[in-house]
Amino acid sequence: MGDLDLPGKTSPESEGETGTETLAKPALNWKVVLFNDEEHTYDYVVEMLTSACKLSRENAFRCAVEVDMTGRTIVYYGTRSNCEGVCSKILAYGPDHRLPQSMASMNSETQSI
Amino acid sequence: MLSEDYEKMMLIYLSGLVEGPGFRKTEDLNRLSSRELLQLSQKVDDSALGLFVQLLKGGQTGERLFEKLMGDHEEENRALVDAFFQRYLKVVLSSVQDGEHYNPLEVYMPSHTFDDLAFVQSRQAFFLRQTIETINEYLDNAFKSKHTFGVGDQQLAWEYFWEKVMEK
Repeated sequence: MGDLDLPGKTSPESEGETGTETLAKPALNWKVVLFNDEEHTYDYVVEMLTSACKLSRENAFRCAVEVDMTGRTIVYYGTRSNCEGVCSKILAYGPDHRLPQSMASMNSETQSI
Repeated sequence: MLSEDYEKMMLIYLSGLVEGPGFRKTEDLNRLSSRELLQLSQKVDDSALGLFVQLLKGGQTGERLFEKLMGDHEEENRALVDAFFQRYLKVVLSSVQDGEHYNPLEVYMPSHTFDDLAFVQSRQAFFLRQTIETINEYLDNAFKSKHTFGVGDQQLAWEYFWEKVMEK
């Protein structure tokens, strides 16, 4: 049976030269995917992503263009719990006050890579 | 999707920006490489940039178009990509111009709306997600006095704001 790559497990490569055991960094093997809809403006997406994902305005705008053109965009990579936290922020952000028909937050989900 | 009239108008406009055969239909733009497309976008006037992108969206799949606008992730296209997105951002986002001070609460909850309590209450979530600096500044201007709510006091600030609006 091969070794399982468990979070927190130490590998020989992660040990220092002194042989002191160190904890492996948590793997950033999860992502948050944001989905397009017709109820949110570019302004909202940029404002929301800079707040929820700490993206720069420029990067948030590129994500907004991608979600508009392709229907989806990856807005965050991280550990599972970090991604779930970001996802919760997106889902809790609230409707877009600029559009009367906007009744809720944008949809997003956490996916493993 | 652009109307037929706008589509024709844009194709004529774009044909005038290139040498050689122009564009008779939207699909003709698909033959442009990523670099050529970004170079063409540089010649498009700011006022037509939104229409230009709408036109492109009608001609090819979103995934392929986005890849092209991203320069097909080639390093040599990076400057063109950055220039395109900087311009497009200014065209698309309504909020700010470079260096301009902007308080979103003053734009979307101006004081003349305070008489409409249903409207104001519907903006509660919007109010609560602003930084406390933005909220303090908004309250200062709305009520002509200094406000010093601290970091994390958004809910407290909202309760104060709501009370003041109700008093009016």
